[in-house]
Amino acid sequence: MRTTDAAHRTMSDLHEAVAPDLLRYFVRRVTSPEDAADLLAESFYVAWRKKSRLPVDANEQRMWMFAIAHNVLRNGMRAARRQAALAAELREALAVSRGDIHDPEAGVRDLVRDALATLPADQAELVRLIHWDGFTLIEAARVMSVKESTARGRYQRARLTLRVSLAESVGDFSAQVTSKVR
Amino acid sequence: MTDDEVDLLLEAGAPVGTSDADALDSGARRLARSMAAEAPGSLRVHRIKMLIGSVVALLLVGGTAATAGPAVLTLFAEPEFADSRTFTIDGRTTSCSITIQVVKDSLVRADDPRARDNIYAAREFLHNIDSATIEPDLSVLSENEREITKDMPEENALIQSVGVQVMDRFYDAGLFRYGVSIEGHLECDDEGTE
Repeated sequence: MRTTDAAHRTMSDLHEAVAPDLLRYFVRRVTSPEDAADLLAESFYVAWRKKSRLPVDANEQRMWMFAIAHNVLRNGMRAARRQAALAAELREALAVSRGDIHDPEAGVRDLVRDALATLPADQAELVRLIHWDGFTLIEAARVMSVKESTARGRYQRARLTLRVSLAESVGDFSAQVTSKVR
Repeated sequence: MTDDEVDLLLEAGAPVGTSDADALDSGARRLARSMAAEAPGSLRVHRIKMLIGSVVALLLVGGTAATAGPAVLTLFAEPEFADSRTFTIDGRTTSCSITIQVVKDSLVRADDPRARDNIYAAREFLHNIDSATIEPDLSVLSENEREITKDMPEENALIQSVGVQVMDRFYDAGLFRYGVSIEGHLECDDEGTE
């Protein structure tokens, strides 16, 4: 049985290890990257409150943190004042870094973002988890707290829809680029 | 369009996010460390230790304080009000919880006796609210609260309605006074459909 100190250290180490990936997870999903700092802080806060439910297996722990992040994002942001203050430095860094972004692939990103927006929210999130965050379908299902079979069905439907909408969008996009070149 | 082309587009379509990944990674880790230093577990242990000291001192003063001691300890150890509910809406089950805690207003001194008395009264009142007497009820939400929750899942609004009713009782009791600040937290965990 782990001691309280050991459990505290396990949770601290987990958070430190997963923090960059969780930050990216949020940055990819919010309109203002600065909000990702508060969402990250809120996720840590929720995890500390549920410390007794931390899985033992390292990979399970990582999945557990993403499941918490998924719920935090779904619930909307309501970081308490203490977390907001702790996240201030990271918020500032995110705000500064946003101003420096040069994105030559912005057109493609817009196409994909628009295509995802046509999907039901749970299908779109499944696609993001798999294609942007690198989860397998099974892992993504666990992050979203759904059965693997449910996730598989949703993912198949999402891909069918995306194949059509992306094909249409790519056609339109190519036509626009071609006309600009001329 | 082939499957491979769909994959390529989706992966190329990930938002670029930020320009200075290393600095942000460091910032994210620093935040994790700061949160660990202030983690609820650590705070609770610290508070309990501090209160054991207070209770011992009270016991030395007299019998009245002795009977008040254990209750005070309980009040400080956890948020004064905590409740959790499970909602099943459209076949989807969600577990929601809410906590409400009285904290000292950061603008007043820690040893201010008036603030201390008000905080004790507020804590005791919230601690004695029986959550079983509160039913989630969307009709209690104000227009502003409905606006805030309109894009959230219904269960979020339902658990919020519990908090609203607690705070209504708190305001009605006239306990939101000098030195008193309230921190609330609610969360919902989706437990899935099938």
